[in-house]
Amino acid sequence: MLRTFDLVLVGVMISAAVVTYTIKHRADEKLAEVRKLETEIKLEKDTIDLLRADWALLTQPNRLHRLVTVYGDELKLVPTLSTQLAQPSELPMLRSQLPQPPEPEGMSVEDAIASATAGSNDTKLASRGATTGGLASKGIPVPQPRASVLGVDTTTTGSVNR
Amino acid sequence: MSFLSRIMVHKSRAHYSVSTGGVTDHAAFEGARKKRAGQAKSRVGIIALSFTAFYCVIGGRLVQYGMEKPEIVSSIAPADRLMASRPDLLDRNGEVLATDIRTVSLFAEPHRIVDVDEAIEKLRTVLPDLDARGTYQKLSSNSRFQWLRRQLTPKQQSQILALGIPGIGFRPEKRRFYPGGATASHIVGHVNIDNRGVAGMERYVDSQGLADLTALGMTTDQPLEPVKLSIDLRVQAILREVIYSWIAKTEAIGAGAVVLDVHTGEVLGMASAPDYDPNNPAEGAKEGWLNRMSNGTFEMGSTFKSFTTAMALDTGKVRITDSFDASAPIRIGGFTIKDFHGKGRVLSVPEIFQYSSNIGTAKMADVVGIQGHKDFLTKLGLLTRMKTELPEVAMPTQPREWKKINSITISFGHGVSTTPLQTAVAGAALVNGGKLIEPTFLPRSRADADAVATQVIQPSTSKDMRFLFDWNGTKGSGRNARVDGFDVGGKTGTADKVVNGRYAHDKNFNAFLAAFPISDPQYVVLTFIDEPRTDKGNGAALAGNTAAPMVKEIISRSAAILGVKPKFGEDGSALLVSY
Repeated sequence: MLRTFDLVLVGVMISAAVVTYTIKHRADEKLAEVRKLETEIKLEKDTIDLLRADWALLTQPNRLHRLVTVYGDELKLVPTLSTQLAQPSELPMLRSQLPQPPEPEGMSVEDAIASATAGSNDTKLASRGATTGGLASKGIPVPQPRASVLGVDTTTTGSVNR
Repeated sequence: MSFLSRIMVHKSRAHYSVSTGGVTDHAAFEGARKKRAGQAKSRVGIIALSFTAFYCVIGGRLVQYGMEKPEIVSSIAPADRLMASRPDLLDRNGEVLATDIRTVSLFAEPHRIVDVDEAIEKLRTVLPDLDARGTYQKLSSNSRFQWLRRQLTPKQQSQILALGIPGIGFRPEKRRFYPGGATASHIVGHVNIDNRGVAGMERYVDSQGLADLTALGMTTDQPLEPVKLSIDLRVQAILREVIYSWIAKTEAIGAGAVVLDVHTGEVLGMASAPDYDPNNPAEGAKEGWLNRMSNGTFEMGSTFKSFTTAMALDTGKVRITDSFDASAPIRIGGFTIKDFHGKGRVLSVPEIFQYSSNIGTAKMADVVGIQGHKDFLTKLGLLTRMKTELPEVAMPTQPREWKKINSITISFGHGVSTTPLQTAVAGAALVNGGKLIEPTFLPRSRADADAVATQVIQPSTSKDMRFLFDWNGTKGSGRNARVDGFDVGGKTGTADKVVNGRYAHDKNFNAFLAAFPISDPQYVVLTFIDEPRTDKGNGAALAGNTAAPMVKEIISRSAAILGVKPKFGEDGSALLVSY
């Protein structure tokens, strides 16, 4: 009875030792793996830092300006003038919405020009012009701003949030 | 123990009885044997039990430790001074201004070097400028450690590793790197060889506790949260480029420019020339370290007339419609105050401002009085040391005792030396509705700015000053700074510099204090140029021809970046399409 019990105990002991050893071994392996990954992460992080510094160096405004000057012949870049900046609300109407001058029925082109230059003296033409809305008395189309733009100030420059 | 000793006693007695019993009596022997078997059994039982109990205790403890929550403790490893990190400095858009990069330094252990000549020969293939003689002495010495080269690039490191030289190794190090070089040198500052901030915002970061941490050895190589500054790298680059191009154009000895948000006091860009490369600060040590913007004091000249006029208007003793007789020079205490662009007639307040009349301005200051004048300039912060994050801030100088002649000369900007940055800050207060806001190099919201702001002039005075700046910008000396669409208003100042105690007429300090768009100012721009020369070589360069065009260049290039929208037309209507 004792002998079988002993054997059982010995068996349990050996198996416990084996299990413990495997667990320990696996833990060691995992630890080594973790260390390896940590080293890799550290290396990657350092590389990211280095690349970020490199990116900052390459995108320096003064460097870009220098490059623009050097390659000026090919790029043909010029500074944006303040007169070249416009808001969406400042754009004129679409071409399709442009008011058409009235069809000069039964008139030659010369007549139409003559009547337009004669202006308001020609009451007949002036009254016809008035019916077409967006025309001035002289029959010249007057630009209307494009339909109201939602959120007028849509230009952002990224520097200052206003 | 008593349990064990009892077992021992039993055992010794049993042994005794067995030996004696065996010899004397057979029956006793039988009994003894049986008894011994029984005893052995019980002993085994006891031992088995005790072992079981022992292992149960161990097992129980293991389970107990397994169930227990791990106690959170931390320990700070002895800090590696070479690896201690500093926070990155970023601009307001997150562009890197200063960062840590990991470098390695090459060292050798001479006692482990096999062939010194071979090692040097191999190293020189990667580091061609390695000093062969010095390195030979180092490597053949009896020491156990020698630095060979500090701060190598990763590429050089891998090349040296590939050479496979025994007895040399690498030690990681952190090095501060400024990608912009000199672009923002005076704002960012630089660090010394121990990675301590010694100038600019680097020093400010240290003074906010980082230095104490380092001293306690509590900094680690863990990255710290980056510090965001208020400057915009693009604007900063424009400022620096403009001032350098004008220095080249006018052969000036120095120049500077600042862009300041009038509502928050944030500095969007500040450049001062000459400057230096913070990556290599020793090289610029001669001249470049002086930040003329905040650490140099100058007599600001006629730009001060803005403050005199604002003072006169703010007291209510002078109205914008008033006139002063500027026909005759003022003679006081052996001095004669004349006008440079003298008109020789009675001038209204806007005309005094437009023609930059010394006589008219002096008379306006006279209305307020000496003490009132001094108090007003003090209130605007022009006579006291400015409070901001930058450590390099100079103390303005003023006469020890204000006399009438001092008040008169100070009214047009002579006799008081102040820093250009301070002048810009006070100028911002004139146009933003009268709030004096300390300048800051860190981002600040409008609400925060209002909390620290002090009302120095009435909003109505500020409105008058905007009118005057606009007037001078369209009709007066500020015309050269006008940019289409961005109404620039400002005041020029051409001051004679003091040479050997006398005002020299051929050495000028030119400044231009501007705000744009002047109808609702968002930014104040101040430029100055020190001793410019015109191409004629007569040395009489006026601010209207030097500092004002600088402002024009700066605004036309940076206004869109700063988010200011151009407005065209007299009534500010935005239609610019013409048929």
